[in-house]
Amino acid sequence: MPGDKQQKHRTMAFTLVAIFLIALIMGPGPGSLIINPPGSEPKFWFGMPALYVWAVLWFFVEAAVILVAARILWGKGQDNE
Amino acid sequence: MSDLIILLSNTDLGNTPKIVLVIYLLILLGLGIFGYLKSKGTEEDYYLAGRGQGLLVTSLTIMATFFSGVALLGFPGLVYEHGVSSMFLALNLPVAGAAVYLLGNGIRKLGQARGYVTPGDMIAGYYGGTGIRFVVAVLGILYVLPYIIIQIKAGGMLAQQLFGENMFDFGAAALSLVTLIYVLVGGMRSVAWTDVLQGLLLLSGALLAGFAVIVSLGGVEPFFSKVTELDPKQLTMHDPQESKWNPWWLLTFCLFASLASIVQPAQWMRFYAAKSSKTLRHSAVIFAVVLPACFLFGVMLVGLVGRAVHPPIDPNLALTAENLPEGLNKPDQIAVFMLSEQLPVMLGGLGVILVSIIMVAIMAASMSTADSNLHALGGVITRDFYDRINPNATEKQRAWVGRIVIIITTAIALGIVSLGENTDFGKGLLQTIAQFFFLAMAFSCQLVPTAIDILYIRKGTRNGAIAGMCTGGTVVLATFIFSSEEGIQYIKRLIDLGCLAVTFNVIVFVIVSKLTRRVDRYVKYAILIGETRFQVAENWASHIESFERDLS
Repeated sequence: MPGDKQQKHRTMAFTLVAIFLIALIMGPGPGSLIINPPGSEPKFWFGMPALYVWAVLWFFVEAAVILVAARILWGKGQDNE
Repeated sequence: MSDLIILLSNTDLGNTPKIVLVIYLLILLGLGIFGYLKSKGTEEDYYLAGRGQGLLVTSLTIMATFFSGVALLGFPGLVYEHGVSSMFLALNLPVAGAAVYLLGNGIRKLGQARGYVTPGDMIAGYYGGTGIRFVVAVLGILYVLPYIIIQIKAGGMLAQQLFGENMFDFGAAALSLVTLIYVLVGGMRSVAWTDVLQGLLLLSGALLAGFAVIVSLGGVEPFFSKVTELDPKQLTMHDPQESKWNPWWLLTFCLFASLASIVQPAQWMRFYAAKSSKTLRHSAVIFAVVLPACFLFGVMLVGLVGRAVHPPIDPNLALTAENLPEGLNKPDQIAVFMLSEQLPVMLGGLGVILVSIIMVAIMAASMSTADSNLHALGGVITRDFYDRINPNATEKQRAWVGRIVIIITTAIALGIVSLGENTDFGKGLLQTIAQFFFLAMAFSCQLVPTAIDILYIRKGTRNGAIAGMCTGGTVVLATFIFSSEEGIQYIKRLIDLGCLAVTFNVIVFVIVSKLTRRVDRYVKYAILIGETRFQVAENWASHIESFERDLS
């Protein structure tokens, strides 16, 4: 793989890992406290519990990261093995 | 599960569940025979289906093995009990999906290049020595055994519901026998093909459950308007002082619990069995996208609205049978309780068939976990123990030893389950095993640091790996022994047990590896490669280079 492309892939890998970790921290992690911390009044977005919408949102982010990684980074060169 | 039985016995579904169950079991036997007809009689074929499993089989067998009956009963039960915060559990599944490729593909490559069959083969192959193989095998067995016993018990209970109170032993024996037959005759091929059916049932059952409840309440809007009536505590995050459904525990669970289930022996062997990198890449995507969607948009919603439709009498008291609406004895029953109430009214005969399919899906989830673990146990005992005693055994001998292990294990598991049902001693034994069932993932998790070291870092040493895994396992046992201490309980509410033990594991692994690396570098290792042959690596550096070549 040419050096430029390798460097691009490395940058993309770091970016995707960072987004995935952010999704974990914001979703199930302490980020969820922004939405509805213990003892707070429940919020609703689009008629649904805000925490549920929050969980779905970060699930989509995680899924998107994996789709991009699978399409661009993961072993494309090994498909014909 | 026992409460599910009582619940279902109160619901008039006629003979439909029995007919669906019989059809399901006949299809399983058919798939077992199919696996047998395709088999080649070699050890590699028996344990890994000739290392040629394609996308459909690989993706569904990984998903079916990942989830036991807990998926369809426990998840909605947790949401009923703890509210929206427990729905974040589904976000551990994309982590597991990523691990299917990031760990699984390297494991597959090394397995194909070096003829590995069990996790012990790879870890001992890299670090060298028999001691580390035994540690890995024991951690694997601690994961596998409780799972087998608990799933057989679940099968017996389902038979009790369908055929009568006295049919527990008969049911457990009959269901174990069906599982035993297809595992014995067809090995991995039969197990994986039955997993395809069981995986499809699991996914469709999970989605169907959510869809049916939304439709029965009049659509998405009325559904969520009902949810707004929930107690505020059900719609906010929890405090670590009160429960483990707080962001800190959820984050560590999502990071580590999924990895534990991905490196358990049965999954590890599925990676060896996958045909190619492409197979695992696509399987990872399906796992990460489809499985969480089935839970977040399916069965978890049943638990959420179930709490609004059938609330406990006093929400501040424990959710025991006395504090729950009539007919509901435990939160785990909520999915079947709501579906058996709504579907037959909504859809008549078709609704009864759909409830029956969901019931069989619950059983399928249990059976797919039991068969995969039984099959993996056969491989682990044969490769990691029998081979050390009799290194000159032929492939066929080893395949037969594996089969004998599977028969003996099933008989012992069945005996324990039967004792547990009929005697006080057995009840105590079964309770202890059930407690180990909850520790299983924490034990399995201890293989993660060694797997990452072999596949990506390659700086650890054998002594470091052994010390790390033993430390991690000891931490798990220590928290079990001292679980009644207030401090331990608080730590367990704040951090997932697997994560806690892995943290100690990694610290010890790094320190001991640093201290012993210089010695290891110049020691000649006897490396087990393939089945019985031993080759001596020139030195540690060339040994690592050979692994890097196989992984590239």
